[in-house]
Amino acid sequence: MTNPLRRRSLLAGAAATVTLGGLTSWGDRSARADGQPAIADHLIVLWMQGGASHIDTFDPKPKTKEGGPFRAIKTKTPGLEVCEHLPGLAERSDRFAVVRSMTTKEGNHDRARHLGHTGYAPNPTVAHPAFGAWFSHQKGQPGELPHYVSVAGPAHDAGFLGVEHGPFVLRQPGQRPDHTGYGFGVDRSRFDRRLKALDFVDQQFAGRTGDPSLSSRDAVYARSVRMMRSEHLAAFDLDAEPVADRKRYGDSDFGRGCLLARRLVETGVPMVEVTLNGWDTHTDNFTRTQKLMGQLDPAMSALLDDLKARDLHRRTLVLWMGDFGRTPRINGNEGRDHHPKAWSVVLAGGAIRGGQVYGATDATGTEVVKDAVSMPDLFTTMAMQLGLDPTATEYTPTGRPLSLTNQGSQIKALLVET
Amino acid sequence: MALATWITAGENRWFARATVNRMWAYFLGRGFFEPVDDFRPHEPVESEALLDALARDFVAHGYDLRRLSRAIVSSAAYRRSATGNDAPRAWHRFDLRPMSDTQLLDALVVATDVGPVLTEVLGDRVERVKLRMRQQFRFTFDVDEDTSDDTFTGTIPQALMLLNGPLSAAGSSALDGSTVGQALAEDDEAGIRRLYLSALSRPPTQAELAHWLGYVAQAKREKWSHERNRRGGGPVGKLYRRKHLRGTGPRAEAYEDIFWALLNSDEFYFIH
Repeated sequence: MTNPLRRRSLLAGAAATVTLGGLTSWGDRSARADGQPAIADHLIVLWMQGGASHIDTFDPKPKTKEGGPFRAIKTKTPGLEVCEHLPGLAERSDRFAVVRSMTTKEGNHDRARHLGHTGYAPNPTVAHPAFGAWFSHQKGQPGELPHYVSVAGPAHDAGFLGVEHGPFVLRQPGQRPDHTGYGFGVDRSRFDRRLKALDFVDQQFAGRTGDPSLSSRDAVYARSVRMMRSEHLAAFDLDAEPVADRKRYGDSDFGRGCLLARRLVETGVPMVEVTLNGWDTHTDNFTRTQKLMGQLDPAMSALLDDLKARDLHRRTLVLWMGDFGRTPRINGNEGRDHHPKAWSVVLAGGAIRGGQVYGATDATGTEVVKDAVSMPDLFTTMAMQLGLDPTATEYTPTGRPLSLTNQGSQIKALLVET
Repeated sequence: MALATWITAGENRWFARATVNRMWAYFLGRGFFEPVDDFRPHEPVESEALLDALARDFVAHGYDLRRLSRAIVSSAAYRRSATGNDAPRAWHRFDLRPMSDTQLLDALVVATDVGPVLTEVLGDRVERVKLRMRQQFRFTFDVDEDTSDDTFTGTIPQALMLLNGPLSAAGSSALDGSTVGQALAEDDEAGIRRLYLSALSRPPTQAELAHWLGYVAQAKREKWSHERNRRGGGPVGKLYRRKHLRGTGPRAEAYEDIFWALLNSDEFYFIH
């Protein structure tokens, strides 16, 4: 009759672990599938919504018709040039790897975002889980804050793995999530009393139904209450950050999102995704892209600096990615269109060897000519960095086996040699 | 046009089968075949004869969705409840399904009876406030179309909204005219019964009634009272200052707790 995993017993358990929260609490940096220790236990995704032009950012083609008006500048890395509007990142190029040979087949935004978040092209008969959901499913949900926070962005859900593995979507960086304070006329003691009352009601219902979906909802409730009561909620208050530090990230929502990402990772949140929207530049590509780089450059630079200064960079993998690249051909509206065939992503942190370029495109940025990287390759590489087993199989409700990704290979050249 | 004619041609059984399956899944949470849009001939079908009969009837009556819905909701399968533990067979019991966000919002407004109170206090702004709540609700998580319903059981933002949000707070407050206000005007047995009927559409069991009578008695004995500030509380605070019942004390506080618990309960949340 009484299920030991009922909601309030979960709450009691949660209360007991409160003191274990914090930076290093989730000590289960468990072994990787191959027996080596996991390298990173956090992932920060900087998602360029709309699809950033690879040519105007990390794969410049100066002095070509397709290259556009931007100059390319040298970086700390011999042989790597980036767009002139990324000066901060150019100075830090020893800390990241540029992959110039991403190649995918999805040229539609929704389909590309599905692919970029789940590793799979959409398929109406399978609800693919997002990477963050696999992460939670395999590694659990340490700490008191949600395991996967998506800042200001659309996020992909947990699919068939169940809603408790889904992302926590924060409307706007800089404010606490809605409804994390007690309601009007309620304080801690009254809230506790109410939870007991709620437990009584739910016990009656569970006794009559015993439906498994109840425990899934109860797990979400337990996590919600844990989050309400967590001292780590203060991570959401960016005002606590010195003004000078806030300034380094730039005065933009994306900058604040990156600062928040750092603060959340510091409290132990495994995955944070920060979206920078506006890259779908079919018209007026250069003005708009320059403006976006003006937000990206300080934010991502400050993030890389802070992770390093706090000695979090080895434990935190950072991925810069968007829907796809954009066409080398400049259209009649000074715009660039969708180009999934060849594009760039950037990786930093973990065991990523910074200061390198992997893969290459042809003279115009149209085709990959060296070391093509597929989404499964990228997912496999990231998963292994985080100590996940990319091939571990789960079964969908219709009995279909599915793993995080099973077609890819780890890109060893991206990693420091061990 | 030719396509439309072909689709609805009586001999094209696929359109009718697909529609019947969708409607059946809508009402019962699970179709004859799943996923509902996968209607290939070789797919295994639960209760082929029933599906076929419903599809034929649907075609014969000019694709009358109303008639189809009526047939489904009057079926024995639909009327089964989620309780009980019969041996498994097709639709032997109603699978628990969470309400959609819109259903949940509407259910909260109806159960708490704060609609009229809101209208009285907010006047013309009530629609805007409701719209905002709806948007907040939607934002809590836009459920993907390709997520089957049974995996959606609410997210953290949605849970937080039910625990601490304005609608739960206002709806469980002892306001003049709300469900809690009405219940407080009655004796405890009738009052608790009203709270249950409003939230769960059933009276409390004997055990539940006894439990809550004890709860109210304890509130009185221990003189529960939470002073609510004269200021603050946002729209809920404002509403409370305008419409709260005076001089009710610990008993009102206990009723508010009970109703809050019912609104947050699994039994309220799931269609069963």
